[in-house]
Formats: sequence, structure tokens, C-alpha cells
Amino acid sequence: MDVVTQTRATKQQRKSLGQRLYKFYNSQTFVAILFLIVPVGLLIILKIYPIFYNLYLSFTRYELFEPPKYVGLKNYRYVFENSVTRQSIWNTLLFTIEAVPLGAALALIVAKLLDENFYGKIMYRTLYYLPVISSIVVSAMIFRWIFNPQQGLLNYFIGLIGIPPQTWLSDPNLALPSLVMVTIWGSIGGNMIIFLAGLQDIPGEVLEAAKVDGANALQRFTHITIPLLRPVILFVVVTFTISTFRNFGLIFMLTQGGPLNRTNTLVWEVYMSVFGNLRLGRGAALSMVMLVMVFILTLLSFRVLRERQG
Amino acid sequence: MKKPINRRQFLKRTAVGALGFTTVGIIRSPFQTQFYSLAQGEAVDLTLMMVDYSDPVKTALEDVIIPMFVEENPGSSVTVNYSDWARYNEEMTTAFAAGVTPDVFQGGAVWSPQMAKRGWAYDLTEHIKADTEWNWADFPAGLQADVTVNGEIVGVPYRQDLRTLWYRKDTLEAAGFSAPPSNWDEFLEVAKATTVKNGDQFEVEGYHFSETSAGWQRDWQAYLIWLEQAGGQFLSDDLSKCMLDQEPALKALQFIHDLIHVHKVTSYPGLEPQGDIPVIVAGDAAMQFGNADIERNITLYAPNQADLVFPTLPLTGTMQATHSWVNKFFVSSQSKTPERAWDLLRFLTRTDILEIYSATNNNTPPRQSLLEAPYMSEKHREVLAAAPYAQTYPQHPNLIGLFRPVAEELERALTGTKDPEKALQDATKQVNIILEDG
Repeated sequence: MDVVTQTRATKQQRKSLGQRLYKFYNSQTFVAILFLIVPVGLLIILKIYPIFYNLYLSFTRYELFEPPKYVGLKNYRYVFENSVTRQSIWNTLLFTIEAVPLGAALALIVAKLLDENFYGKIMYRTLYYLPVISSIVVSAMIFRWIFNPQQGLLNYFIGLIGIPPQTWLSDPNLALPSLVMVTIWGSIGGNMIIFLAGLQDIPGEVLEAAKVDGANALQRFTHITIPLLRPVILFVVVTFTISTFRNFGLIFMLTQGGPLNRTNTLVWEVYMSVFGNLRLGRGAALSMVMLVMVFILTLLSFRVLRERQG
Repeated sequence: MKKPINRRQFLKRTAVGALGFTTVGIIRSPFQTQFYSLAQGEAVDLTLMMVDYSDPVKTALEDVIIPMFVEENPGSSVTVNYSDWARYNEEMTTAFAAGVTPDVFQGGAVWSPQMAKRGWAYDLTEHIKADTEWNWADFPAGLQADVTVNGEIVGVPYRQDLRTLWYRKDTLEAAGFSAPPSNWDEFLEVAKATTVKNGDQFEVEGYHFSETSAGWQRDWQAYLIWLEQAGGQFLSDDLSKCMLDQEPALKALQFIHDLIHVHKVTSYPGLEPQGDIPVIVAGDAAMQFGNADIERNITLYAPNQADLVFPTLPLTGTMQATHSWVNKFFVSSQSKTPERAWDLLRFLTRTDILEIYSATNNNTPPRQSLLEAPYMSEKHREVLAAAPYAQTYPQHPNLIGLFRPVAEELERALTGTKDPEKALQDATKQVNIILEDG
């Protein structure tokens, strides 16, 4: 090939590259990429990168004012060897196990009741939903008064049925159940709305047919409603589990991890490690443990509820 | 004729443009930091972070103090931001990490060594030593020492949070005591005589130790006063060892433990305050340790209790002692105009301005020249009379980290789930591990 032919070929190549670019610019793929760049970019910057950076930090000793120093698995050893952090893992599980099934079941019952036709149901739905739109801080302040051992409403009411006053948030045996109570109170409205939407999706004919076949209300609920609601139950259980794991506001406002570390959950321990002790590496390791625990619990929920569905 | 663009083209061009702007913005941002070199008197915008304030302080700051500063420094402006102690530590930590700190900010008792170690406090030594008119010597030596770390003055005290014994005169008189106790034996006698119970429930605590709503450091802070009265200390002088396994520490903890479980003169955790009304002011306790905030809260919320609740000098155990939490102002090392930030700090801690702040916040002031200030009540003076017996925190940069295991072990001992001696030994072990770890 002589020089002239080579130059012509290159020009053709350039031209075809420009043409290709112009074609790409006018293609749907380019438009799709353009519109995906922002959400995908945000996902990478705000979610994926922090997770990997957190993973990196969990292998370091990092106190913010000095560069991170690699310490291998030391932070993870601390998490599993230290009695306080072990207790925080146990408390988190206990908190979730107590709050999620009970909270979800109560929300389902309330949703079922509010799915019926009766006078004032819109008002009841609104009232049940109100805690969801209340600020966590305001709710916590109100509950601090409700749980107050001397002037609290709760002690007043239990006093009416002859139960002696309790110290609630200060009692090592009652502090976590008290938090569970507040968590359920705060979540019931949100979960109820989701269940309500699911209940309204259940075809009326199916329930009608069961009724004609002689099934009573309880049988219709357990054999028709619950099986058809499984995808919704799965969604509620998974999201409620995650939010219970992340429940920081109530602990911060009401118990600060006490008494005797009985309400010291993983998220509180992360907070104390990072902001109390400025051990960001240790906090990162705790966060990774929390991530894995949420992941396992979510998988378990999927498996249990999907298998039953199958 | 120009062909109109369709919706897809419009969106595409908009998206390309937005991406371009974003990219340029991201690339430019690291080079945007500006450093100011200002001539004296030149205008500058300063930021001030307040955490230790009440509504009257806010009004005084915005209506009097800041306008005065602006008048004295023409063209300057000050933006005041407010926070609260509950979230202040993390707020400032993240501010420093992000490089967006206020120029001047308030800090708590444990902050000096921590700020110095992290390099977050601007060294004020040269400014303070060169400024005779502002008068550093007016601050007591103990307070000066509290803000001096490795020879550098890193902050200026604005408040002495001195805690001394408060008592209810009516309750003590009803129990036959004409004067408050002055030592541990008398204290125990008064506490026993003034405790009122209904079955297992306390109606009046002879002594109020602590309450749940005071946060996780509550027991530690309340115990610390007893520890110091027993002649003990938290850390060794060289800060290398925890001293809580020593005899005075055990003596103090055993005394409190017995108040709860043997003499039953205080509940654990104690009765809760009624909002901003402290337990003693509500009439639910005969005695408690507290600072001048008790006086402020009486004035604001329970003026009818003013003639019933009084402070007195700290008790004597092995020695007469109490603890002082010294709060201070800092200039951020990240301030772009540290010289001007010092001007603001200097102004805020000037005698006349500190008097306005202390009077509106009902504080016990750090300047000796303010001891006779008109706003100072008899009770303020009585609280300040405890100053000669006051001890401050050791200057370790990770005090919060060290306090946590202690607070946990104290809780175990005071709930009766662990023997006090064992609890202190365990606390000492854990603190020593943290100390060795650096």
C-alpha cells in the first residue's frame, strides 16, 4: 500500500469514527446512558463507594485527625471478643425479634379491622397513621413523660389495676421491652397502610366463594387472606427488620444504651465508637457486622416466606 | 427557517449541559479554598457556635453582644449558630472532618486536651500573653491550667461549672437540723433523717444521687465528687494508669453503694426531675450535688422555692473537695481568619461582656473580677466559695473513651449486680487497656 492510499484510508476511518459518534449521539442508547448517569452516579457515590470505603476503614485504626493505619482483623476481633459489643449484637437481635413479629402482626390486625366498613374508619386510619408523621424526637420526649416513674401515665394506669409503679427505662428488665413498645407504636401506622393496600388487592370473589363454602371469618383470614398477603408480609418484615436495626433516635433520646447496657444495640455501639471514642475503624467493623446481620435476616425472611408461598 | 428542537433533543442537551457544569464544578472545587490576609479593621464575616446558652442568652447575644462587637469592628459581621450538648460532639467532629468549622466555638470540660491532640484548636498563647489589657491573670490559676496543654493556651474559660452540695432548708429543719452537713458522717445522719418512703417507694430522697435522663455519664459525674472527697483520683499524674483500684476510690463507691442498698436514703436510679425543675427543687430530695443551674431553674420555673433551697460548701470525706467542669471558648485551627477570630473570642471573654453572658445565663463566671458583679446572688457566691476545693479533669485526650467502661462498671456496682471492689478492678483493667492502646 502506497502513502496516498494509506492517507485516504485514515481519512475514511476518521470520517467513519465521526459518523459513528454522531450516530451514537442520536441513538436511544445515548439518551438512556445520559439519564442513567445521574442515578447510577448517585448510587455509586452515596451507597456503593461508602460501603467499600467502610469495609476498608474496618481494617484500619482511624481517628480522623491522623491518616488510617492498617491493623488487619484487630477491629473485628474486638467486636467479637469484647463483652459490650457482643451484648450489643445480642440486644439488636432481641430487639428485632421482639419488635418485628409483634409489630407486623399488630399492624396486620389493625389493617384487617380498618378494612371493614364501619362509621369513622377514615378517622381511625388517620389516627393510627399519625405516629408515622410525628418527629422521633417529639415522640421520644412524650414517651419519656409517659414512662416517668413518678408522674408517668403508664404507672398511673397500671396502678389502677393494682400493679406497683415501675421504673421502665431504668429497669434492666423493662428498658428493652419499653423501647419495643415505642417502636411498635411508631411503626404500626406505616405498616398498616401497606397491609391495607395488600388487603384491598385481594379479590373479593375469592373471599366470597370461601364464605359460600362455609368458611368462617377466622378461616377466611388464615386460609385465604394470609396466603395471598405473603408478598406484602415479606416486604413489611424485611423493611421493618432493617428499620429496627437502624433504630437510633429512640435509644439516643430515651436510654443511651443503658441501663446495664441492656438497650445498647449495634447502632448505638457504632455511634459511641465513632463519636464517643473517635474510633472510626472500630465503628466501621461494627457497621459491617450489622450489614451482614441484616443481609442474613433478610435472606431468612425471603426463604421462609417464599417457601411457604411456594 | 430554524428547525425547532424536539423534546428529546431538549432533554438531551439539558442533560449534557448539566453534566458539563457538574464536571467543571467538581474539578474546580479543590482549588477554591481562599485564605484571607486581612488588615486590622478590615471587614470579615465570622461564625460563632454557641452550645451553652438559654433563651435570655440568645436575646442578649443577638440584641446586645454581637451588635457591640460589630460596632467596635466596623464592617465585620458575626453569624451565630446554636447547638445543644447532646449532639454537639458529633456536630463539631463532623464539622472538623469536613473543614467547615465555625471560627469561634464553645467546648466542654473534656475538650482542651482532645482539641490540642487533634490540632483543632488555634494556639492562643502569643495573643493572650501580649494582651495585658484583657488580663489573663484575672482567671484563676486552676482554670488557666485547664486550658493549657503542653504549654499552649488552647482556649479561654467562660464558665466555672462548680458543683457543690445543695439542701432544702425546710426539709432539714423539719428533721431537726439547723445547718447543712459538712462531712460524710453528718451527711449520712441528715440523709437518713430526711428520707421519706411509702413502702419501697421513695417520696423524698434524703440524698439524690443521679437520674436516668441525665445520660450515660451521670453516675460517673456524680461519683467523681465523692471520689475526690475520698482523696482519690481517676488517673495517675503521668496519665499512664487508672487509679480506681486504689483505696479512696473503693471507699467512695462503697459509701454510695451503702447509701442505696444499706441505708436506703437514695433510690437507684434516682427520682426524675420534673422537666427543668431539679429533683431537690421539686421537693423530691433533701440534698443533691449541683451547680448554679439550680439557682437559674428556681428563678425561671419555681421562684416560690427560692427561700427553701440553698447551696453550701462541699463535704469533707478524707478531704474537702468537689469537681469543676470548666467550659471554654476555642478558636478553630481551620479558621481562615484566626487573628480576627481571636478578636471575637477576646471580646466575648472581656470582663464586661462575660458579665452580660454570665448574668443572663445565671452562670458562675471564670473571672475573679466578676465575683462582686451586681447580678451575683448570695447563692452564686456560695457556689463560687467551693472553687478553692475544686479539682478539674486530668488532661487526657480520650477522656470520653475512658469514662465509658467506668460508667458501665459503676452502674453494675450501684444496681447491686457486681461487688463494688470487683467493679472498680474491672473498670481499672479496661481503662488501662485503653491507655496502653493509646
